[in-house]
Amino acid sequence: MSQRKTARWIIGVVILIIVIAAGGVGYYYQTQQRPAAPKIVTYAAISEMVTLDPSTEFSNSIMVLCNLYEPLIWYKPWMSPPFVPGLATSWESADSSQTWTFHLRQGVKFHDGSPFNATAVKYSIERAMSLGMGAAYIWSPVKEVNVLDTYTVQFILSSPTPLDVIATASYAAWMISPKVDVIAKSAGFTSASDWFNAGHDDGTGAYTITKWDPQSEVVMQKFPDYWGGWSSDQFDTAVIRVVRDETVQEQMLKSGEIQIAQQVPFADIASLQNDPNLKVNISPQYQNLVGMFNNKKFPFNITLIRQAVSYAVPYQEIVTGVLHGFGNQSIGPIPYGMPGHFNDLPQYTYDMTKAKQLMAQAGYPNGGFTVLLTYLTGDSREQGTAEMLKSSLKDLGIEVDIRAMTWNEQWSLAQGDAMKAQDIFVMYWWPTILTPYDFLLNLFHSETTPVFNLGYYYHPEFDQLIDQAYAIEGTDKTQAYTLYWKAEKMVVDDAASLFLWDLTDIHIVRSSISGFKYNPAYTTTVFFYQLHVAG
Amino acid sequence: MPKGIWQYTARRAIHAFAVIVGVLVITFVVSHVIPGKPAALWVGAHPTAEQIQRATEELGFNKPLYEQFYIYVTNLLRGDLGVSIRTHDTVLSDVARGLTSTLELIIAAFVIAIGAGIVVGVFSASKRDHVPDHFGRLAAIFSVSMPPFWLAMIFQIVFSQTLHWFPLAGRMSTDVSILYPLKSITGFNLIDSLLTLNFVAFQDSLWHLVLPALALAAYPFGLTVRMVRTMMIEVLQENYTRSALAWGLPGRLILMKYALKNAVSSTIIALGMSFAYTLTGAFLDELIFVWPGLGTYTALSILSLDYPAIMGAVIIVAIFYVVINLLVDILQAFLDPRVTL
Amino acid sequence: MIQESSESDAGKRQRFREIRVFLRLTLENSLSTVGLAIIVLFIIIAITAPFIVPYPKQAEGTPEIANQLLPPNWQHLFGTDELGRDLFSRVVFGARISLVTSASVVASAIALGLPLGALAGYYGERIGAIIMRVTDMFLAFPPLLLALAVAATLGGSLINAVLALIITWWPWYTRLAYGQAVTTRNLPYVDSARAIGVGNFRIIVRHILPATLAPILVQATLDLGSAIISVAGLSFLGLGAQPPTPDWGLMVNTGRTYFLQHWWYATFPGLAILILVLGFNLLGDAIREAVDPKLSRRRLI
Repeated sequence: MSQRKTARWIIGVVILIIVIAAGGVGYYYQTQQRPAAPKIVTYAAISEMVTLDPSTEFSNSIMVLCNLYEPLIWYKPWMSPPFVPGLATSWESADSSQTWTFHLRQGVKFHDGSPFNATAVKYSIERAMSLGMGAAYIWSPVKEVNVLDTYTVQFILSSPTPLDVIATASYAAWMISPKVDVIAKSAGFTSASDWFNAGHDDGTGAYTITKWDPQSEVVMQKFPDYWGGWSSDQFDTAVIRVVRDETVQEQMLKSGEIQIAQQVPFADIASLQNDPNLKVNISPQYQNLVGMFNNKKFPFNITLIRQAVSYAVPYQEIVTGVLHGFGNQSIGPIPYGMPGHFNDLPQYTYDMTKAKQLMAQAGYPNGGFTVLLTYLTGDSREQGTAEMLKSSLKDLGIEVDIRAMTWNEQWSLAQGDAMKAQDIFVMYWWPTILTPYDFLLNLFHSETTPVFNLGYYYHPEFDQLIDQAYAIEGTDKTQAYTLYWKAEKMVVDDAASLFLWDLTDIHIVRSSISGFKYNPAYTTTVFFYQLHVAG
Repeated sequence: MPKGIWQYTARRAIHAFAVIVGVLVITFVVSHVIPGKPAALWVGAHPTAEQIQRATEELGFNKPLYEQFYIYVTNLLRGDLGVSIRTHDTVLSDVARGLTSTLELIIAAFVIAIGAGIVVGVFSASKRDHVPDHFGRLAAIFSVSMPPFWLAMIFQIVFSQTLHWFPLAGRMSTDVSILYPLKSITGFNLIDSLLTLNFVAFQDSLWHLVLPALALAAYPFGLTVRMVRTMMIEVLQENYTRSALAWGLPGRLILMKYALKNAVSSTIIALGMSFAYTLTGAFLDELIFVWPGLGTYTALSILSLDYPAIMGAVIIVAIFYVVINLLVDILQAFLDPRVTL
Repeated sequence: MIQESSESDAGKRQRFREIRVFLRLTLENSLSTVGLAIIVLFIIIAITAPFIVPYPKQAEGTPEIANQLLPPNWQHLFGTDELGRDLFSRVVFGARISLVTSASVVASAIALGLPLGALAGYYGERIGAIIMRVTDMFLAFPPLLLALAVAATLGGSLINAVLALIITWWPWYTRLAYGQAVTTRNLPYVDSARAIGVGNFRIIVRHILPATLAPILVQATLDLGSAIISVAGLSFLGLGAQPPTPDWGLMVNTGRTYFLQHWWYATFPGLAILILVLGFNLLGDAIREAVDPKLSRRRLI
C-alpha cells in the first residue's frame, strides 16, 4: 500500500515540475518575442485625473492637456517679456485694450488632420464660454470674436482686460478643432464633451492620447505631424502613472521604474541630490500657504491681535523644519517668482517681544483665549506648520486647537456662519491666470457670500485698488503694478491673513533624460516634447 | 441533513436582507449629515459660486433628503449605483474594478493563512507541550497581536527596501503593463495572465501580490493555528481516538484522517468569523501597498465626501459581509448539531 | 429563605474553590505570567510617565526643529520625529493614551452591553426578542464601516474614535451575556429562588450576572488588545487622535512618510502596540484555557 502512495507522490511532484518548467519556457519565449522597445518616458503624478474636456477641465488633467493642446500664447517666466508665441505669432491691442487682434501661426494641423486657423480660435473660445464651466469665466469680458481672415482673429471686449495674460492660461484657453462635434457624433457620443471625457483629444499638441485610465494611467503617443518637428532622441510614448504616495514615488524613481517624480518626501531630497542617477530640479512654484484669519470674529477681528500673531510665527523654523529648506517665507500674498511679487513689501518676522507688546496694546497681555485652526487632512506639510503654530502661540497665552479636516468640510465650515467658523483657515492658493489680481481678487476682495475670501476681509478701498489695476493691466502694466503694490501692502499691514510660505517645486528626473525645465505657469506639468534621451 | 435547515436558512436570509436595508439607511443618513458641498467636488478646484449652484441642481443635491433617498433606492433596484462625484465614472464600474482587486488580495491571504496555519497547527498539536508546540503557539499569538498596518510597513522596509526581493507597492510594474499589456477578463490578474498566456505579467502580478497578502495573512494564520491546534487536541482526547489507538492503527493515520477533518471544518467557521477583522486589515493593507482595490476607493471617497461612491462601496462591502456571515452560520448549523436551529 | 441561604453557603464554597483553581491555573502557565508582566509594566510606565521620560514637554508636542529626524542614539533612544521631538518620550506617553482609551472602550461596552444582554436573557419573550434583534443588526454591520461612519460624522478626535468603537463593540457583550443569562435562568436553583418569591432584580444581580463573569472576563481581556489596535487603526486613518497627541497609531501614520529613510519613526510606536496587545492576548488566552472546561478537565480530575 505505501508503495502505491509513494508512487502517487512522485507522479504529483513530477507533474508540478513540468508545469513550472513550461511556465518558465513561456516566460522566456515571451520576453524574446517582445518588439524593440519604443522610447517611453514615465512620469509619476501624485493625484488622479478626472475629466479631459479642454474647455471645462479645471483640475489635475492639466498635465495631460498641456501635452495634447496648445494655447495662443505661452507664458515662460524666464523670458522677458514672458509672453512667447504659441499658436499666435504676434498680437496687439487697441482702444485701451478693449480690442485685441491675434495673428496666427500657419501650417499647423490638428490631430484629425484639419488645419488650424481663425475659425478654430473662434470655435474654441466660444465653446468654453457657452459651456460656462471650469475656468470659462476668464473669458467673461469677451463680447465678440471675429474672424478677420484665415489667420487673423479679433476679440472685442466689454471692458479693458489684459487678454494676453488670459490667453496664456492653463485652463479654458486651449485651441480645439471645430471638427470635434462631428467626430464625436460619428463615434457614437451624444456630445463632444462625452467624447473628450471618454479619453479622446483633438488639439495641435505634440502628443495625442492613446490610453485614458485617469485613476491609474494615461498613455500618450507622439503626433508625427506636429508643426514643431521631431528628432530621433525624443520620446515616442509618454506615460503618466498615478502614484498617490510620495514614498512610493521615491522608491520607484530610485529603481528606475519611473523616470520623473512629481513629489517625493522633502526630508529625503538631500540624499537624493547625492545620487548620480538622479537630477533634482528646484524651481519656484506659483503656490503659497496662507492662514486666513477670521476677520469677523473675536479675537481676529482686532487688527493688533492679528499683527501680534503674525510676529509669533517661527517662519524660518517652519521652512527649515517642515519644508526641509525647500520653500521660502512669503513676502506678501503673491508667491515668489510670480508677476506681482514684490521683495520690498513689509514682512513679519518671528519676534516674540514685539508680539507680546502688541498683545498688551490690544489689552490681552496674557492672551487667555482659544482659537480653532483647520487644515487639510493628510497633508504633512500643513500638519507640521499647524503644530509649529500651536506650540508657538502658546507663548502668547493663546491656545490653538488644530484640527485636520477634508477640504469640503473645512470649506463648508468657513462658508457658513462666520461667527461659528474657524479662526484660522490654512489653505493653499494658486492662480488660474498669471496676474496678481487672481490672488487678490479671490482671497481678499469683498464678497456677498463667502467663496474663497474665507477671512471675510471686506475693505472697499482695497477692492477699488485691485479692480482698477486689472482694468489697466492690458495697456499700462507699470501703473497697474504700482496699484497692485499698494493693495498688497494694505493686506500685509492689516495682517489680513498669515502669509506663511511659498512652495518650491521639486521635480526629480533620472539622469538618462535631459531637457526638463519646470514652468510654474503650467503647474505639475511635464512637457514631454522638450525631453530628450541623454547622450 | 439536520432537520429544519431550510427554515433556518430562510430566516437568516431574511435577517440578512433586513440588515442590508439598515446599512443602506444608516449610511445614507450619515453621509448626508456630514457638512460639505458635494457639488463642489464635481466642479473642480476653484469653482465660482454659480458653478457650484448649477452643479448642485444638476446633481439633485438640493432636493429634500427623503426624495434623494427615494431616487437612490429606485435607481439601486435597477442596478444603477449612481455616478461618482470624484471620478465621474459610474460607481458600479468603479466598485467592480476595486472589488476584484481586493478579492484577489483577500483570497491570496486566506490561502496562505489556511495552508500555513493547518500545517503549523497540526505540527504543534502533535508535539504538544514540547518545544515545537511552544513555538507554534508563540507564532500564533504574535500573528494575532500584530497591528496589520505596521506589519505591512515592516515588510516593505525589510523585504522591499533592504533586501529588494519584492516590489514596494502597486499591483503591476509600469513597464510590464505597457510592454506586456494584460487583458482584463475576470479582473483577477493572476487568472487573467494565465488565461492569456502572459507569463511575464503573471510573474509580475504574483511578485506584487506576495507582500500585501503575507501582511494580511498574519491574523487569520494565527487564528487558524490556534483553532486547529485546539480542535486536534480535543479530538485526540476523545474516546474514539483512544480506542482506535487501542486497536493498533498507526498513529499518523489517526491524526490525519479523523482529527484533521474536524479541525478543518471548525477552522473554516473561525475564519468566517475573522472575516470582519480581515476586511479591516485589507483596507489598511491597501492603503500602505497602494493597492487599487475597494479599500483605497472607499478611503478616497470618504476623504472627498463622494456620497454616491461611499454608498456604493459600503453597500457592496455590507452585502459581502452579510453573505459571508450567513454562509458561516449555515455551515455551522450544518456541521455542528449542537447549534440550535 | 432556608433554601437560599444553604444554596449560598454551598455556592460560596464552590465559587471560592473555583477561583483558587482558576488563579492557580492562570499563574502556573508561564505564557500568561509573561502577559501579565507586560501589562503591569506598561501600566507602571503609563502612570509614572511624566517623571521617567527624558523630554516630557516634547512628549506633549513642543517641537525642537534642530533635532529633527535623528536616528536612535544615546540622547534619543528611539530617535526623533519630523519636528525633533524625542520618540521614546512620546511612545511612553502614548502608553497612557492607549491604556486609557482601550479601557474606556471595553468598560463602556460592557457597561452598555452586559445589562442589556442579562435583561434580554432573563426576561426573554418580547423584551428579549427586541433587544436581541437590535443587537443582531449591529453585529451584522461591518465593524470598520460603522466605526468609520461614526468617526467621520463626528469629526476626527480621540474621543470620537472611542465613541465609535463603543458603538461597534457593545453588541458582542450583549450576545455573550444573553447566552449566559439564558442558560443560568433555567438552572434549578434560580427557578426555585423565583418560586419562593425572590425579586427579579436580586436574582439578576446575585445569580445571572456572576455567571456571565467568566466569559466576559476572557472576552474583555482579549478585547483590550483589539481595542488598542482599533484605536490605532482609526488614528492611522486620521479619524482618531489629532496631532500633536502622542498616540501610537498617529505616530505610525505620520512616520509613514519618512520610514523609507528613517525607519525608526514608524517602527517603535508600532512595536509598542504589538507588545502591549501581545500581553493582553497572552493573558486572555491563559484565562480562557483556565476557564474552558474541556481543556482543563483532565487537570482538575
